Amino acid sequence: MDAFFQINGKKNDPNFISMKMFNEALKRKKSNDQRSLSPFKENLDLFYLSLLVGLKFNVKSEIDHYELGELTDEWTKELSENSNAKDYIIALYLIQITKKEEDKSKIKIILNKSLDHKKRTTLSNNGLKEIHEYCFGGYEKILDYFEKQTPSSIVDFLVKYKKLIDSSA
Amino acid sequence: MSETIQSVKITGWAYRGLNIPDYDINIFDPNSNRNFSLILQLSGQGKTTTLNLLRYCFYNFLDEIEDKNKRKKEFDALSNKEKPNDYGEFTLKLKLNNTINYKITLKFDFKNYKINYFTTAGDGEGKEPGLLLPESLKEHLSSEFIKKSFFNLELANELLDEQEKETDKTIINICKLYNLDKISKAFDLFKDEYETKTGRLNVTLSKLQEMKHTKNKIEQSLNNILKKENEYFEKRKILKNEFNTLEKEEKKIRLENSEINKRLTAAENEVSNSEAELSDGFYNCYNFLKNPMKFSNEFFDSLNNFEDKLTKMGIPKSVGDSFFSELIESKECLCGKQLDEEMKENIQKNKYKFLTDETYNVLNPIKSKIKETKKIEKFLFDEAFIDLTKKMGNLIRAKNKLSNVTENIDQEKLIQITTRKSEIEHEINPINEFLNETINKRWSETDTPDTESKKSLIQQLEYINSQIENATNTVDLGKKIKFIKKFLEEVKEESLEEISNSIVEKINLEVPRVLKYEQIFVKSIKNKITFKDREGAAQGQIVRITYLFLIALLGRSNLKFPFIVDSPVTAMDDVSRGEIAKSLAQFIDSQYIAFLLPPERGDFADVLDEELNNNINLIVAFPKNKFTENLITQAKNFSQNTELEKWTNGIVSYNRDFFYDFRGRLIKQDI
Repeated sequence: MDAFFQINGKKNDPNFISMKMFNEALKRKKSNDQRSLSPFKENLDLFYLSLLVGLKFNVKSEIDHYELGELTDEWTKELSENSNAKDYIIALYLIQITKKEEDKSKIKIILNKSLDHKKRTTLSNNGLKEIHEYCFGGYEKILDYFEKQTPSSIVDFLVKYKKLIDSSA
Repeated sequence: MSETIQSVKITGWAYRGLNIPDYDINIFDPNSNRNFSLILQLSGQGKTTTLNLLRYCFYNFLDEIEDKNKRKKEFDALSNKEKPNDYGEFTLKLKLNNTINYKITLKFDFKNYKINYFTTAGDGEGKEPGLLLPESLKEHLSSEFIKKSFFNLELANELLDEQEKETDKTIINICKLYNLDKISKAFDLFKDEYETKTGRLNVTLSKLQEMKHTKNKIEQSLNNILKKENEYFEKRKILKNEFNTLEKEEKKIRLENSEINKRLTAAENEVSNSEAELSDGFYNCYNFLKNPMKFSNEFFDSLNNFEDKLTKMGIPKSVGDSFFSELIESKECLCGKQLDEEMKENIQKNKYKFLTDETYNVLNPIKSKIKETKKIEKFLFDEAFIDLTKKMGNLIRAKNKLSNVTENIDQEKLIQITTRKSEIEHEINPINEFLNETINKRWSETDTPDTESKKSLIQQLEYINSQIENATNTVDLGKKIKFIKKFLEEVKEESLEEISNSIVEKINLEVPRVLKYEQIFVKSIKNKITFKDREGAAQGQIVRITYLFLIALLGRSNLKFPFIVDSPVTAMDDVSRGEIAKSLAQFIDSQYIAFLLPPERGDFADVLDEELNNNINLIVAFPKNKFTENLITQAKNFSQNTELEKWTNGIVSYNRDFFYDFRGRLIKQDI
């Protein structure tokens, strides 16, 4: 795995709301509703928000459960250069995978396995795969919180998302 | 006929059974050196219809309309409303290379919404079915070429619209740069044939056929998408033009009704302010979410603890892979001991325990950012989200207020405009989505030829092509053709750039004269016209620049083809009109025909007339009916060269004095 993917469908679940569909309700577009004011311009925004939930609640979901669609092979400008979101989220991921480890050399091994400066994602193939597992776990949690429905508006999404992220694990 | 056609001149046309009187218009060309004709008509008396009829004579645009209702609408616009006929006829008379006469007759079938074409070549009477123009002329007559040669000034706005990339499209079509694409296509066809004929297959014949079938499917799908893309581009242009026209009308009505304007402006401002507030609120909330350390104490503490933990452990400190490689290759260790094979193996085995440069380079900036991040009060984060609901409420209230104001305006026309504008916005949204997103979606492994992504289809085509090349042992040929196609693409790009630069140069040479009081110089015409040191220009200035652009561009064509314009100098002041007239007289060496409204005559027709030493056709045409009695009376005073009785339902005058004296305003008083 050397790029970011989103869920286009879930195997054996025709009613599953894909990230693609969820993004339709969120992404900025010329429309007569709140989407024309949306701060979410890229599909990777939902990926990031799902990943944040996945890491906060330490939930993962197997990649093999889903049909995937490729998004991009690098972090978007909004999540990297224009903010530090990329660094914080990678650090939160590293916390999850090193939290049980106190041995310095073992931590170094884990870090070496997960990061790669040469990759545009700054994550190794292993790291990127695991990030997707957290992201998809987080997305499933978001879907449950939204009662398996896409948000009715951007306000609806942000308000509920905040409640979810504020709630304890 | 094998003769190369270098010039086309219109010598006249005739209407029969259409929504324009059954008269003939003659375009005189004494000594074959008269290029200019101005036809004066009142609004709603057939200017735009004639422009369309002239277009149809060279290209069957109506045949391309697949939507039945739209097709019907176009045909209905041409049919005679007072005396409905099943058929109507329009005949165009041409002179090619100043010697060969041609007649093109369009027979409109209003029952079946079809046009039947007939052509008469030479001076004979016989008609051949079909549009049978000489091949050397036909190759020029693409739909775009005709659209640009017979244009109205809506083009002016299109040339400034980056989304439409109209300048590039126009140059590619008029200068026939699309021929380079045709050559590329010919190489593909050659390769396709060669692959079928070659006997050196690496796969079974049925496998190859299967691949070819897939390729055909992808190509078919790509063609459909390209067709849809073009249709959507056209549709968007039409909708945008309609939207712009409505906006202008709305502006005019609002200026005339200050009270309505005040109420509407206040309500619109409220909506716009509420939208801005909500939008800021969204960005504010998302910015919080992009910084987990700011909105969550839990994240703040755990990230700081993580940073501490790494620092305490002396992480990061990196040792590059090259360090270990060099160590293994050297004879002794850093401590001075001789390195034996076992020690080298251990170094190789354990080097992963040290942080690599790759990890260090990611980790170090992350640590710094965690360190730099300050805590903020949680309530600021909470408030940002609570405010969203309040801001949304404000927006809903502002929108309701605006619709109340709109609904209660006692200006039916304004309500119609607002409704139609909103409909257009709804119509344009899916078009934008298709043109901006759908066709540009990235290729994904699971994509099939059914996708609507142009990008994906191109990639699928490349993939299947390389599979076929491997299967047919034509990899080398494929590479050569790819190289030639790339070269042709570069030739097209460079030609476009060179032509564009030369056009910009020509436009800017004319600017001091044509825009003498506020000189606006063109910076670039890449994709759209942009100006030096300024963002935009007034409508009249844009129109003048458009003229200069077209004059420079059409002057490059090796075919002298009529340049026909509807309402040539609307939205221009008297000075600009005069200067445009001078530019036209000086630089246009093909035929120029303009359909003029009476208010456009002053400072344009007279200047053109003078510049051309009266070598110009000045024509007036109007219908005969109870509403035009005053025009008929006027015409009677200029009976010389005026066809008062020749036509049952219309009058055509070639009298220069009548052209200058003709006043449409009298009709209004009479009615």
